[in-house]
Amino acid sequence: MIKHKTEHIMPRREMYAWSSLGMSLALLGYYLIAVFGWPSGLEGHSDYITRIFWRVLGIGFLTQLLLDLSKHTSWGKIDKDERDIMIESKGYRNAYYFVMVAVATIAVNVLLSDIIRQVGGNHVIFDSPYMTFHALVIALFITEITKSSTQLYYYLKN
Amino acid sequence: MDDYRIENKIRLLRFQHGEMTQEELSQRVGVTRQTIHSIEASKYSPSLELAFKIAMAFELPIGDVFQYVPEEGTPK
Repeated sequence: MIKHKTEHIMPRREMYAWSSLGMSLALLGYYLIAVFGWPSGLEGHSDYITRIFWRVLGIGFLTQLLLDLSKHTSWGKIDKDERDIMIESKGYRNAYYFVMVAVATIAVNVLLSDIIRQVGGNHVIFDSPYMTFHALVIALFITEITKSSTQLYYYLKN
Repeated sequence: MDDYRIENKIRLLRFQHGEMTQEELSQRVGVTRQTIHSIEASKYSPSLELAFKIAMAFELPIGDVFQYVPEEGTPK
């Protein structure tokens, strides 16, 4: 029989991607609540949800810290190989596509806001620098989520 | 030339080389165990350099480890 290793430790870069995804989702959720407030149905669970956000952030931060600290151990000797780099590049490619579309959409909306207001009335979303800033911050978080999700897709596919 | 794929005999060669584990081979060639697993399952095609390193680990020419074969159903 061909000998198989029974342990199936997740690749280090996959752990990075999971922690990055969790942290980005938690930060995005926290940011949305801080800016727009709690949705009406969730107000009663605010303490519980906030605790989950902090736990996800804490676990993600600790995971990344441990992965960085273990780089000099035997487990961390091979931190990233050519397949990890290929998967990472696909994540960055999709994140780039997303950020380009997001920035272009926001820019067009800002540039055309006056015309849209004159012609159609209240269809302008980013009618103030304040809203434009929030849109850019949200786009930044979603860009990071796109990157991590793409990486996880390719890791799980194999 | 479109309907060709890279096959390999890594699994068999590991067995013939003292039942070498994926972990042992990965350490010899400097990649993660998951990458060796993906290559063995033909889900990832290694770079030429990694292919040479794997062949060297088995002390064989690269052609004895990797083959470029037509997809099944493709006329030869």
